[in-house]
Amino acid sequence: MVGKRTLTFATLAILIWASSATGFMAYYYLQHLTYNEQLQQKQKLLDEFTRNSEDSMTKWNSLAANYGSLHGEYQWSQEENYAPLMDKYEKLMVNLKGNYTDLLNTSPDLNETYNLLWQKHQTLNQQTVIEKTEFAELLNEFDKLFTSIALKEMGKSISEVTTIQVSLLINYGNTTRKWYNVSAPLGTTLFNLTRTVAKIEYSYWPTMEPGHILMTSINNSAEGYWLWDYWDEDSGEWVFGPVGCDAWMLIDSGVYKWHQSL
Amino acid sequence: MPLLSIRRIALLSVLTAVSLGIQLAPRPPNVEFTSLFTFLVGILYGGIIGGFFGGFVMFVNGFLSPWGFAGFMMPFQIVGMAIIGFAGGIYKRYVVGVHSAQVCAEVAVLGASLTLLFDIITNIGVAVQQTVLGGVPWHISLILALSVGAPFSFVHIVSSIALFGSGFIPLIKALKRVPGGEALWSEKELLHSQR
Repeated sequence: MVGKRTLTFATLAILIWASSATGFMAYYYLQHLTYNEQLQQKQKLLDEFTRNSEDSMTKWNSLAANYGSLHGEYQWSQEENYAPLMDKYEKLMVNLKGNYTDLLNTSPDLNETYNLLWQKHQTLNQQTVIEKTEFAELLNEFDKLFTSIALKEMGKSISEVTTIQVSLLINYGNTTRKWYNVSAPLGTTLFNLTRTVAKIEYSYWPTMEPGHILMTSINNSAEGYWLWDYWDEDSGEWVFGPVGCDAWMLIDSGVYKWHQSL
Repeated sequence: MPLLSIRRIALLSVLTAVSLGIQLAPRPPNVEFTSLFTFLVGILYGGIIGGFFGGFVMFVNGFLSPWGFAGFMMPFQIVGMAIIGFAGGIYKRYVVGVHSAQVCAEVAVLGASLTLLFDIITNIGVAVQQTVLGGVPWHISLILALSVGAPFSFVHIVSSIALFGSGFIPLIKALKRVPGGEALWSEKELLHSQR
């Protein structure tokens, strides 16, 4: 016969087991719900990314085909005057703008490059004779712009599913230094990041490559030009920015610095 | 009697210091000795003193804990630990004449159930905190607190079973000797001189 005392403690032990098991089940169920929700969100983002990539590829293929056709005509042409090809070039430019309107509207650097190329095309179009080298230059610049735009759009698609953490230091020189630790979409350039954290003014240099932007003022501080550095993890020191800030893609955990050249 | 009271205070002070020292020392989360010491104090000096002991240790721990200031949780921790001390006082009435192996098993079960009760009380504290400060509906915050806390509670219960089951008998024997004081040592010396 089991004693009353033993029964009491056995019941207590069963109660502990039951409570712990119930707690664990609730914990497991909650975790399951959380992971399921996260998985669905990731899947949704992945689907969106696939759709955006397909759209980008379609646009790229269409424009690349037109560009390839025009480039072929230019290469095999025996004529001295390339003016008859200008209509097709104009169509190409219009298509480029049409396909990437949103991107051009949100990227002042690329928009500036597009407008300059358009002006150059308009100027050349007024000539009755267009030489091979002149037309080659137009084609070459279009190719570069088209590649930059396509790359940026691809980066934009990726950025919708991935973000990175970066640190930016703005050193005003007069012992005023301000750090920004921010998350940014993957594919963000230093120019875009700076634009989001500070009020900027800049000049556009068409001949400077890669990247055409020179920062002239950050948060109304405009003593000389603004130069940028990035922190090299391997050497443990600041490295001078080798390209224009609009051509430098930020990396995860990257550290960047703006400082003034007097 | 005054001598006994002084020894009692001294022993309680030492136990408080030991409990706090272990409580504040780096250790795996949810593996703690305070509940065992509180239960022991309850057995030795009764439920009221046991309850005060547990409550005081948790009060000081609430300010100095390496996990940070307990804040909103502190009253719940104090109440939870006081109940353990009080339970020790109640169990004292039923432990006389019981075989030590049975006491080990019973104390392990009691330790587990009191730990579970302590965790439920502190989880309720978390839920109240989330409701008051975070604006989360009470029933949701309670379910969340209890279910998220389940793995931690499991570690706490298992460690308590081990500590209460293996540590209670040796500790209670050692602690019972301390208030014996001079009488105990005189007895020892007498035995020694007779050899």
